[in-house]
Formats: sequence, structure tokens, C-alpha cells
Amino acid sequence: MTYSLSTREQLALIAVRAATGVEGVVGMHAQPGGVHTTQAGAERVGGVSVVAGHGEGFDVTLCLSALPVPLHPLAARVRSAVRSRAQIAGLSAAVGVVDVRFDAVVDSPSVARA
Amino acid sequence: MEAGTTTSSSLAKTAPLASDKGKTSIADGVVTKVAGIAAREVPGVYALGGGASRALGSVTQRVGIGDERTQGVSVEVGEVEAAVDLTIVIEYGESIPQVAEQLRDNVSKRIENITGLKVTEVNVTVNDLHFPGDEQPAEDPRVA
Repeated sequence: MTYSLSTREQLALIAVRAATGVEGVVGMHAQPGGVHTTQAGAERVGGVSVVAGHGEGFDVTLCLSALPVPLHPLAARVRSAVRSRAQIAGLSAAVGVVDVRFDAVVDSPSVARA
Repeated sequence: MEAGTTTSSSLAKTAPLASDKGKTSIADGVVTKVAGIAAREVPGVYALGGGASRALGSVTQRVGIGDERTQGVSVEVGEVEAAVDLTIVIEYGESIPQVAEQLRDNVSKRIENITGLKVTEVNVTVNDLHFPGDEQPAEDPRVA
């Protein structure tokens, strides 16, 4: 039996891949209790929640660990990367607001990935 | 909670910067960590935290739940401003007023640059002096 991902689930995966590809982002930061976690098929995607927004699209919240770099410009780059990836996937209309939450900073990427 | 660290946020839990494309929030722990890293960059600062918090911190670090970079750092974070309290151990011979001034400059600069928050105050408590040779010498191994 095959399971095709819903738009919401696809968006969660796209957002995480886009965010973690931005320089300065070290990884996703899973919240205690899995508040910002999305089940996408068999995959449990931590650090992201995608919910129906007030408009037509879905609102995305990303919880990130980052290097100690200016965080607001980094958040803007993350938003841009999410929208860009969604556009490539043909889901640009599905993206509403993209909230970025920095939950941790690490002073070297190797520490975060250990 | 990390040893020796208090992160009280009576004003707000996060510091949002809203735009029409989304909101950016920064957790208090991020501001604490940035302040701790910035404080350690200042020459003359030997360690952060009081005696008890450093002792407890060394235990929690050994079991992997503590982070010495946030020891002795307490922050209060509002929507657009932050206040920082630091408890430090200073190297003997350093000028306390000069080190405190450099701490204020560096911590404010780093927090403002990284988080965009305006730092309203950096309070510094010098808890102890460190003399060269204060470290416990490593014990010689009993076997070769």
C-alpha cells in the first residue's frame, strides 16, 4: 500500500530541508513534548509544525539551533529558502506565514552534531 | 535548568520581531548563551559563576546536563530589550573596573549584534579572585 504525503506533510519536509541547508543553521530543535513535531507519513519530523493559517496557505513554525551569528538576517534567509524550495516543489501557494524560533545557539557545529 | 543559571523572563518568554512574512523569536536560553560566550572572550575573566554554582556545574557537566558557558549568567528578556547579570571570577592583578567595563561593552555588543535586542544593563558581580597556581595539581599516577 502506498501513502502519498499531504500538502501539509510535504511542506513540513520541505521547510526542514530548506532550513537546515541555510548556512548558520545547525539543526532543528525538537521541543519538549514534541509540540513542534510533524508526522509526515512514517517519518517524524522534529522542530517543525505546519498548521492551517488564517489565509489560504499553511503557517509554518521552525524551531532551530544556530551558530552565534546575527539571528534576524538568518531568519530572513531561512524564510526565503523555505519559499524558494516550496516554489520548486509547486507548493508556493501553500506557504503562509513562516515563523522562525531560535531555541539554542552553539559555538561550534561539531558540538551541536555530537 | 543549568547549574548556576537563572533565566527569568517576567516580561516575555521570547523576543519576537514580526514582519508580514513571519515572526522571529529568540528563546531566553539563546541570550544567556550569547552573554556567557561574550563574557568569556574578555581578558581577565577567569571563570563565570560563584563557587557553589561552579562546583555544581562541574558535576552536571560531567553527567552531560550542564553547560559551563551559561554558568553565572542571568538574563531578563523583554520584547526588544534585555538585562544581564554576570557573576565572575577575575584574574588577580587585573583591574576590576576595566574588566567590568570591557564586559559591559562586549556582552552588549554581542547580544545586540546577534539577537537584535537592546541591552539596557549589564550588572557585574566579582565573586572571587583567581591566583596563578590556584588549580589543584594533577595527582601523579600511582602506577607507571
